[in-house]
Order: sequence, then C-alpha cells, then structure tokens
Amino acid sequence: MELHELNIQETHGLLSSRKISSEELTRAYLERIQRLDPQVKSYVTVSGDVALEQAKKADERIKSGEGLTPLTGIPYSAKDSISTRGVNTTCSSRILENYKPFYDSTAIKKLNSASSVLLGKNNMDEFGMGSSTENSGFFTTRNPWNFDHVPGGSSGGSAAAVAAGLAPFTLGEDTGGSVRHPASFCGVTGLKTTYGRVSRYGLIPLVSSFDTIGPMARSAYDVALVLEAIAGHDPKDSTSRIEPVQSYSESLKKAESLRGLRIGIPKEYFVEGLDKDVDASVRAAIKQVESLGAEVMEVSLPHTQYAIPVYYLILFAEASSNLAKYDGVRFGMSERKTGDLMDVYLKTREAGFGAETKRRIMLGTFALSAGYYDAYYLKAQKVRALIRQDFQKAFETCDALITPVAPTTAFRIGEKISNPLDMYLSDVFVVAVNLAGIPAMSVPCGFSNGLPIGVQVMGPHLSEETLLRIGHLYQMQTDWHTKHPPL
Amino acid sequence: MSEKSQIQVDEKLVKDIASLARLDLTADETAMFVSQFKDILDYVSILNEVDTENVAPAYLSSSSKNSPREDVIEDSVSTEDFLANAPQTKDDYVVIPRVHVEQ
Amino acid sequence: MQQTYEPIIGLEVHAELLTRSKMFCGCEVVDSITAKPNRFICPVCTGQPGALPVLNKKAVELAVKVGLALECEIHTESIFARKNYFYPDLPKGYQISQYDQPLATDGKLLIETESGVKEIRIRRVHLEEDTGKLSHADAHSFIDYNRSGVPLLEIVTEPDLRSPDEAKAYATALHAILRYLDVNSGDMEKGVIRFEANVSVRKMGSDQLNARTEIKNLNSFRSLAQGIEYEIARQTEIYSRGGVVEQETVGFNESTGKTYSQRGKEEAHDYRYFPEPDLPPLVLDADWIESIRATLPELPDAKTKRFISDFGLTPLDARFLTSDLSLADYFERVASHSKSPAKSVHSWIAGEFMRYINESGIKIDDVTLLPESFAKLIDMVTDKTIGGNSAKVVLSEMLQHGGYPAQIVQEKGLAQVSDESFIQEAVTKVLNDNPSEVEKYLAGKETLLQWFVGQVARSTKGKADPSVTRELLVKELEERRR
Ligand SMILES: [Mg+2]
Ligand SMILES: [Zn+2]
Repeated sequence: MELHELNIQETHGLLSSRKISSEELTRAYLERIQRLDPQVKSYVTVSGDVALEQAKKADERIKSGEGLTPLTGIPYSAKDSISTRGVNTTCSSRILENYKPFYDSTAIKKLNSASSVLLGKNNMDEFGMGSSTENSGFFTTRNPWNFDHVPGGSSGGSAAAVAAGLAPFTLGEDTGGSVRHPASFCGVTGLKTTYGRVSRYGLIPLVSSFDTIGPMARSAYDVALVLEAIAGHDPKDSTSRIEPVQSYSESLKKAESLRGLRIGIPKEYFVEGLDKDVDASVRAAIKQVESLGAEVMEVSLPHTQYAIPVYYLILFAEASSNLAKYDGVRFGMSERKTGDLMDVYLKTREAGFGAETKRRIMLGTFALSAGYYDAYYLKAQKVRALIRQDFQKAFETCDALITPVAPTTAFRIGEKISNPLDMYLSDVFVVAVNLAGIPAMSVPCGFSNGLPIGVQVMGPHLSEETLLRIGHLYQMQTDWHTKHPPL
Repeated sequence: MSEKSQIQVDEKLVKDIASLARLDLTADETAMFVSQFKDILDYVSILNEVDTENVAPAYLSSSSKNSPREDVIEDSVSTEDFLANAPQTKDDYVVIPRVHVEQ
Repeated sequence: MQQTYEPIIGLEVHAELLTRSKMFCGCEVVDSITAKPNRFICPVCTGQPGALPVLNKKAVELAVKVGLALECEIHTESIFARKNYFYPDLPKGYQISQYDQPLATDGKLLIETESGVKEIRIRRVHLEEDTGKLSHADAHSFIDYNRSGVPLLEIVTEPDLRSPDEAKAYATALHAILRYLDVNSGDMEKGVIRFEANVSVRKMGSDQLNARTEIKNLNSFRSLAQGIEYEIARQTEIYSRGGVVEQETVGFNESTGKTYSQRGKEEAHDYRYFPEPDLPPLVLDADWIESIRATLPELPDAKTKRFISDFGLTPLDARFLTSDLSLADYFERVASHSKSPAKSVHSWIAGEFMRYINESGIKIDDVTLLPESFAKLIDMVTDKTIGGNSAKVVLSEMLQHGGYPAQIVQEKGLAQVSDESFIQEAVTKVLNDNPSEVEKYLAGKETLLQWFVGQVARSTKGKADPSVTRELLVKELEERRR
C-alpha cells in the first residue's frame, strides 16, 4: 500500500518504529498535493514551510520518545475557517484573501501540542455558505471520484483532500451538515460533534449557535483519534462543554458487538425524492447494524419538514451579524478609492462578498429588523424548540438514529447553483442535527454510478462514543471506507 | 396561518436592507434579490403552520450556563501583530477616512 | 415660556466599572488618555474573526452592587444581546449589551430638589462593553482599541426628571453612589461617566408625550445641565411658534453650549438586537446576590441621616459633606478627634479646607494633613489659643508642608494674647495713627469699629484676642469723645 492510503494508526506505526520520518511523510504528501491538487483543487493554501518545520520538530520528539501521541508527526489539513497563526485563513472569501491571523484556534493549538503537521487550508463555500464549494470566492473543488461533480459542502475541500489522499485527516466544520454532507459525497468518514464538545475559539463563525469543528478521516477509528486530541472544555469558549473527554479509541478497541443498542429509523427521512440507490444502500447498512446485535425500530421526528426553514432563518440572522466585522477597517480587503468612510464599508463589502453571502446577509438583516423579528427570527427559534423536543423524545426510546446523509449522490457542478432554494433543500437530512446541537456521523455505505453514498448516525448530546462504536464495528465488517478514487 | 408571505418585497425594501447591511448592490443584484426574497420568504412561511403559542424559544444549542472568569489580567498581543493586517496605520493607530459626524 | 411648557427628561448613564481586566477578555483596563494606542488588546477586543467573549465575574459583581444600592430587582437570569450597527470604533460590528432581559430593573434614587426630596425611578441597570476611541486629524480618523471592551454599566431612568437642575441633582447623587460602592473611579474628566439625556417638552398640564431628542456627548455635570437647558429652550421655541419637534439624536458642543443635529448621517436606527449566541444566560444564584448585598457600604442617604443625628448638623451641611465619600470620611475622622462642636469642624472643612482643595486641584484622598492635626488646630481656635485668622495661616502651612499645629503656632508666634496691656498698646497706636477715622467714628460712623479691630489684628499679627480688642477700642474711643 502507498503512504497516502494508510490510516492514522498504520502511519503512526511507521513513525514510531522510525521506518519513516515525519519529514519524509510530509514531503510525500506535499509532493502529492503539488501533483494532484491542481485538478482536485482542495487546498486554498498549502503551508509547505510551516509543515516541514513542524515535521522536523515532530521527528525530534519521536527521537526523544517523549510525549508521543497517535497524532505526533501525522500531517493534516484544516478547513479554511479555522484560524491558524501566521497561515492565511480566508474562509474562501475574497474579503479575507490576505488575512493572516495572529493567533491559533484552540483546536489547532491542541494539534500543535501533539506535534501534528499542518499541510494547509482547505477550500470551502465562502464562510460556509453552501453545499458544493461552488460558492468559494476562489474556485470550485472537484469530487475526486468524478471531476464533473461537486464534493459537497461546505467543507468540500477537506472531504476531497482526505478522499484524494492529500491529507490523512482534516478538521472540518459543520454548521448545517458541512462535515457530513461532503463526507458522504466524497466517501470519507466525518463526525459532526456535539455542540460545545470542541472549542470554537478561533473558528470563524457562520452561525455561532450551530458551528462545530469535527474530524474527517478514512475511518471511524481515525476520527476517534483526532476527536480525543481536539475535544474538551476551553475557558476561552463560554459555550464549550465541561464534561471530561472520553477515551474513544480505547473504547473502540474493546468494542465487539452492538448488542443492547436500540437504533431508531425516523420515517420522515425515507420519503419521496430519496434516490433509489441511496435508499437501498442505507437500508443495507441498517441491516448490517442489526446483524451486529442492535435492535432496530421505527421512530418519528414529526417536525422534520420545518428544519430547513428554521435552520436558514437562524442562519441568515446570525450570519448577518457575524459578517458585520468585515468592513475594511482593521483587516482584510479594504476599498479606499474615494476617501469616504461609508464608501469603505459599501465598496469593500460589495466587492469582497460573493452572491450567496450577500443574499444571506440581506435575508438575515431583514429577519432581525424591527417589525419582522417576531415573525421570522423568534418564530424560527420557537419551532427549533419543537425540533429539539422531537429528538429528546426519540432518544427516550433509542440510543441512536440512522438516516441517509443526502437525498442523492454528488450532483454535477453547476446543476443547482442558479437556484439557491434548490441548493438549500439538499441539506434536508443534515440540518436538524445542528438545530438540536447533537452529534452525528457520516459513514461510507455504498456507491451509485461510481459516486459514494453515506449513511448518517445521530445520537443524543455527548454520545460520540456510541456513534463511533457503531461506525467502527460497521467498518470492521464492510470495506466501503477503504476504497480510493482512481487518481 | 397563511401559506404565502404577506410581505411586500419590492426594490425599496431590498435597498433599505442593503443600506442597513452596508452592501452597495448593483441594479442587477437588487432585481435578483427582489425575486429570490419572494421565493425564500414564501418558502419559510411554512412555519406559520406550526402552533408555537406556548413554546419558549430555544436560542442556545447547549444547556450550559455562563461560567464567568475571574478578573485576572492576561498578556495582550503585540501592537505590531495586530496592525500587520490593517489596511492603513500610523503611529500605532488604525487609520480610516475621516469620520465626519460624531456618533 | 417656562410657565406654559414643561420638560420631560430621562437620563442614561454609562459608567466604567473598576475591574482590572476587560469585560470579555483578559486585557488590562488602562487610562486610555495616557496609554500608548493599541497596547492593551487581543483577538477578542479587536474583533478578530473567531475570537469569543468570556464574561468577567467582577463586572457582574459590581453591577449587582449598583443594582442593590438602587433598590432594583436583581434578575437571577439575564441574557446578553448583540446590538448591531456599523461604526469604526466598534470592532465586531455589534456591541455586546443586554436588551430585553437585563441584570436589574425597577429601582429608585432619591434626589434633593427645590421642593424637597423626589424619587426618580430607575428603569434598568445592565452590563455592556465600551467601544474603542477615535481621534481625528485632517482627512483621517485614528482608532485606538485600548478602551474597546472595557466594562460599562448602563443605568437608565424613567422620564421622571423635570428640569436641568433635577437632572444634575440626579447625576450628582448617582456619581456619589458609584463612588461609595467603589465601582467607578468618579474621574469625570477622564470620561468614566458619560450621560445621554432624552428631552421632550409639552404644554403644562398635558399628559401627551411629544417627540424627544436624545442628546449625546454629555461628559460633565455642567454639560448635562447646559445641553438639557438648550434643548428645552429650542423645543419650547419651536412649539410656541406652532412648529413640530422631530425625534432625533443630537450632539452637544461643549464650546458653544449648543446641541447640533446628527441627522446628516442618521438613518432609522435599527439595531437588530438578538440574543448573543456566544454567551449562555447569566444565572445568579441567590446566595451570591446575598453575599454581595452583605458588602454594601453605608450609602449617602443613610450617612446624611447619621450626620444629622450624631453630629447635630443641618440637613444642608450634612448633605454637602456626604455628597463625596472622601469628604465625608475626612470630616468624620477630623470630627472624631476634635473636642469642638461638629458645626465648627464642618465650617472649617466646608470653608478653608475645600477652598484649598478646589484651588490646588489635589484630591481629598491625597491630602497628607492628618485629621488629628486638623482637629487639634480647630480645638485651638475653640479654646482661643489662637485666633481664626492665625488658624487659617497655620492650616495653609500644614496643608502645603505638613507639621503640627502647636509647633507652627509657636514658630510663627501666632499664639493669641489676651493680656490687656499688650493689646492696649496696639489699640492706642492704631487710634493715634488714624485721626481722621477716629473723627468719623466719633461723628457717628460706628461701623468703623470693625475696621479698627482689623487694624489691631494686623498690627499684632492676629495675636490679639478680638473680643478684648473690641472692648478696649470702645473704651478708648469713648474716652476720646470727651
Ligand atoms: Mg448602551
Ligand atoms: Zn482583549
């Protein structure tokens, strides 16, 4: 097997037995990125110098044998909304094209302290607004399985990088499916963490009350290793959870069956419009889970059809406020031709933001404005409470829920871009999770016309261990996650 | 319980919002947003079907309460690091075109 | 005009809280007038993408203190909200404040007015963050974010005030309370307390509410009264010629004493408040509130009452002393060491002592004169060891250079003499030296007696006991009449 096809555990074995150095490994990845990424276009920034410097430090640490973790010396990439000190962090927006943060996000800090190696930053829909990376201010990432198709979004660059072997793992970010959706389109394993499980400090916000950083990798086991490294309470994030982090990988090592686990199948997620192949693959995955000892039952999440309008209204509102700081005053693009302050605001924001971003800022400004707040924003927050109740009720009888991730496999580039509402609807199975703040994982479960299909496993707050166990045991029996696109 | 949005989405509304959001929309963008706003607002008006009479809004995703920090001074960042991203600076100040009226 | 129109005034006060670090980050709170620009900053207070606020516990404590002192209802759950607007001193594009669920509501503050004590209702007390600071030169403005994120307490009244004087009385009383609670430095000239006034006028007797103007940039008690006065006159004038006042925000220009319209850049204010998703609700448990209540000091009203009952001061004198915590404390310490009546102590402190404070610009807290020494000096006047004028000389000496009263009196030879022969000698000399004044006195201008007393005091350098002097002068002048 080639280096880029190994999982984290295997790579860690090579590093710790010093069959390969982190520097060699890093150079191999950088070389592969240089060769293949001009076609895949998964990276906005490749931080080769930083990577090699970090790799050398990792090698010293490996040599000393002190404080090694499973991620020491392992290269990775991060979605470009996760702040990296001294390395461009653009959110794939022209408005932040040359922005270099002067601080590291907490998740990156934690990976630095494990001596992981940052290869670069991945393309995304601008500020996370999209489900295809077509809304990137720079370029569209291609699906490594078929270049005519989108990789999904908004963490499309991250999913494509893992699928194409351009990083062994990445940090994605999920606001309304942004980890799970591209993970399913690209055939990788992606975890949307419980809201607050991973610190948001340094994560450039889209929707502060939905955003979560989550790992994407080649297996549930790898995801568990990354999660252990980045999760935990952060005094710099008032919304982060204080509960101690479990030792997920240890628990996976011991896992044998799913006996005693009750799995709910929400009937509202298997409806008209669901692609036949997707439906069949997801149902086959459910059978597989059942064969592992789990008890499967039908459940109902009655407010499912309202999740999309609720999600988008809250998103519009929070995003319009979160994006106000891009005003050409302190950082980023600044249009100053006229010498008038109002023009700095107007021209910078007009030139710096893409169409979808402007559309959402406009809708959010509207939804929060005097006279409309109650009818839109407040109404959405109330329906959100009902959607959360649906999940609470379901989790009284089940330990996890299984659904499709997306109604179809990856669509063609350009297919939905002209109709924003159509694009919004492709998030139908993923956004409710963010409204409830619960964790969910996308696991590869099949192919249709050469494009991957993902199955979604959801659980109650802080049930990451359960989700990883289901994914891991499933992957011990199946090989969908081990397939590589022919590049 | 209306199925369609009752709001009159016209150019004036879109322009007022754009000015509040500090977006200098082109004529084409304004026209496009007028039609898209109608569609999207019609679509979200499906929420009017839901009875929320006795429902409290759920603003936050976690049930955590605020745990304030102690009043302790931490190191600040260097002025140089902060100003490195600024479009214009002078004598350690961030510089902008003159603000004409006091707020 | 004042008889036919009455003003309706509400005040919003922004007070900086005395914390060491900022409201939502660990940056040090410094004097932003003297500190070098952009030194006390971090990702949070400069609005870097991805930075998150974490609430300062001390700021909450201080806010609760004020809420309790103003007899507010303290809410065990309050939430922060974003107030969205664009301005270059506001780095995030929104200010974190509190909106529909503030920390405290429904309090009151008593003020002294011409017609007696009046209760001003407090609508709300809430926490928010300060903005950065702008300065301007030529075609540019310059931003310093040292002040960005400094904790502010906003205290809002109901529209209960009816005159510039009442507004000033309220502001002064609130200022005193903030000092008493040690939650604000009270340094008005450093802008640690800033006022905004909402002013409207209406026909006397009407209960209609007319359009109001919001006056900004009121940074001193004087500006506050002036700005309100100007607005009342302006609006009254508009109504009396049949015009209509427009609801708007105006600025106050300290040099002209006038307000000016800010309509130029005004658009309809639409702050699009919504709950701050980065901060969970602030939950205060009852025990914590009670433990803060236990730290409340004696407040101005209580102190005034005590000064009246314990020291026998008039309400006016007592209130003057308690208007400033440092002054009240200093008075109390001098009074406790002095055997003289408290009234004398008050008149020395309100008179000579305050004159020195005002002229020198020294803060009462920085005065080095020991209250014991001040008390001793006052007692020396009471027991006639020295005269009043001599005591003023001694006090001035002690305030400027220190020392002990007895020693200075001795060094300067200021001890009062009631020895008649010594005084008689001075009296005779003064009368001999001023024959024309003697003549006028004898011709009936008896008010000249006080002048002669003064001359004797001067020639004896204040040592002559004034009552003995007066006695001897009358006696000798009567002798000269014959
Ligand atoms: Mg305020
Ligand atoms: Zn700071």
